[in-house]
Amino acid sequence: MSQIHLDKWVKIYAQRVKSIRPSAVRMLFAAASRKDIISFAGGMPHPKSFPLEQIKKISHKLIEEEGEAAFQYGPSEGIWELREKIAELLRNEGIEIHGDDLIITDGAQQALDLLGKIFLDEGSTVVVEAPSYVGALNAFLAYEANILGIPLDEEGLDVEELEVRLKKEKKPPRFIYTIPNFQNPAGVTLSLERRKRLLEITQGMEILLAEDNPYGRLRFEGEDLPHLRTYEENLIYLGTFSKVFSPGLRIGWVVAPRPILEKMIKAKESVNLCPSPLTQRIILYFLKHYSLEEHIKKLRNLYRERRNAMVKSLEEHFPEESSWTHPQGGFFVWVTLPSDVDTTKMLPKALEAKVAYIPGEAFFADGKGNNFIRLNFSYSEPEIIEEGIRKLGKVVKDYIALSRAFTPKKIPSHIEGRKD
Amino acid sequence: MGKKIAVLMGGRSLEREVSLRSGQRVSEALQDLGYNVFQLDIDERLVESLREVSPDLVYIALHGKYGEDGTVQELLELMGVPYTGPNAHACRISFDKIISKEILLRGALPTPSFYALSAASFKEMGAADLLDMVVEKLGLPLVVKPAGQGSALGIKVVRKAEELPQALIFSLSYDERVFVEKYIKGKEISVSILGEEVLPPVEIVPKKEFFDYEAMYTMGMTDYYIPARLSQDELEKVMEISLQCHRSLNCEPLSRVDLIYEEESKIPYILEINTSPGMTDTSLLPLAAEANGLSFNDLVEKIISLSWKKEKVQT
Repeated sequence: MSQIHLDKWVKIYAQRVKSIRPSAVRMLFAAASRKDIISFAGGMPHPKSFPLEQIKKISHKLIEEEGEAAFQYGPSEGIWELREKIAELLRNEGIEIHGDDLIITDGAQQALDLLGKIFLDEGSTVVVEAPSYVGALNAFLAYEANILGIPLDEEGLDVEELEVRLKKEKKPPRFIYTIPNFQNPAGVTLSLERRKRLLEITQGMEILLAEDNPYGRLRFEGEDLPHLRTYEENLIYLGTFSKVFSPGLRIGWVVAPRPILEKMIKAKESVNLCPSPLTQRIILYFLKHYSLEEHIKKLRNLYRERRNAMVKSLEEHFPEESSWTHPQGGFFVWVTLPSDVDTTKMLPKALEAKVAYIPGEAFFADGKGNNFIRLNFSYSEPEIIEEGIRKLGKVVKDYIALSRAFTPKKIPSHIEGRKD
Repeated sequence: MGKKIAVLMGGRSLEREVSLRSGQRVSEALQDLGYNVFQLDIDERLVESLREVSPDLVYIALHGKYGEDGTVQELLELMGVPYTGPNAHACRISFDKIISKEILLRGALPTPSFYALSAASFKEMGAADLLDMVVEKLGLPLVVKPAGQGSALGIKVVRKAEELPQALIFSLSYDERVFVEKYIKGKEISVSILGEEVLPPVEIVPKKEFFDYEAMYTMGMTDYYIPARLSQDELEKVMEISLQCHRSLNCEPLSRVDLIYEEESKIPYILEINTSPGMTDTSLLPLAAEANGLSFNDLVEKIISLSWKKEKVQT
């Protein structure tokens, strides 16, 4: 008789690794990548949105003119010229900074990891919106943080509830993470009044804010609202070219007060030495010789059309008991289904009908949010969106019909010995 | 160049990821063995692609719906192309856990008592009113399983009667037909049969309470013992019952039988039979084969050689 060990290193892994596991839901997503499935699950830009012709020209010139530097190591904090260029873009949005107030990161995702690395000990509290971006939750959980979720509504984070909860906390949180514009996953935007109130609360209690703004430039309806960073210098601001240009370049940035930035640079050196000089130079060349504004204009039209298609289809095909957000920008619509619907349980049924979404549960650190789903509209064509929502609407209606067939009075009770 | 083998992998079932892993590993082995390998996924052009490739044999590394339920096998029968695993008829019956359990019972083979239910019985006939009867007749705990699904997907253990409706809703998301089965406490055993050979029983000890998807495909989440920690008599009994199961469902040349050995009664209960056992690096058939001295490449070669010989069974 012999015992078989498939992973003989199982005893030496760090404790935190045990939280990283394949789950049945992850396996279902492998099915969701099938070509025959309409996927509203991802968070990807439209595949036809990348300016490939221009990038082709840029790459050619770049290799000819700056090839040696582009393929060499670069500065850890990013290429100076690109930092200056990003500072200029941010000044146009009312953030008065210079190139040395920010560093370049491998997508904004790396900045999230850096936040965890320099601020979080085991059990440190981080405040997030509930729901929040799953990549941020995972980045903070990797440092064994305690996540405190504060609900949001159509006007964004519920700041009054935030104040109540903060007052109850014995230890102040290390920071508050918020996505004020077209939030992932909820699609909602923090109102102007709440922006001011949020700053009042955090300034009063001296709590650090991390403002993540990946979708801010993609407003296709209504007026831009001022960034939190325009009112308050002592906060962390995260940005990226992933949604307005290309996620494949992996170029994001983080603006932070000098002492924090220095810690981040040091922490980052041990992770990637430097962001890719090649892709930094591609975006820099683009910013110098082409118009990002023109490109963003095109994206806004592209995504407005898709948002419209999705909202219209939801109205047509979803049951009356459901509701959804009406995003003025970004990538996502957040749907609320009747409370007896468990969207994680419903997922295999949706895949069977050849349509995929992300169950709401994924966006809550406490496993709540079972009756929500996140729908992405940026990736698919309008007619595909219509077809997918029609299919999904039927799945939801079927699920409700099945669930209602088990009404509470039908749950057996006398088996437990309660013969009343 | 060696003989042409098309490996069917991926597919459109929920077990796509597992199938891609099985298929990749099998393809590498086939290349090592000198075959000319073509990897094919399932799509609208499958028949056309098979005609283009014109393989000497098809290795079915698909799991779950279409790949394991007789659908693909029937197409290959029609095309006259030999393929690995049991024939279409055996696949259809084995994939349906409800029907295969009925056949086992008819042959007086042990399998846990059960009731088969469907979404329609709840939605259109008010079957929810009978759930207390199900609990009363089978007793607690119970297991709810979809009729056709692999990799432990859609399976829920029910410990309290009031958990049963949610478990049914969960399971009904994987199949319109489900069954509620008596929960047998005992050792989880898996027995693979390769041609005439019954491989040593593998005992599965999940570190969690239940051998679910995560325990199945995460290295280090499950302990395995080969052979299972049973007496020689018990091992022989388990192997004999497995072989009878394999034969009564006509699963020649290859299957994997999953059982629970109840130690008190000394009864090996058959849970299900798999006609396309996993070939990933955490799968049970390759583990059992290795215990019998067959490397992964040997195992793949053996499966191929058994498939040439397989006789066509007219259904």
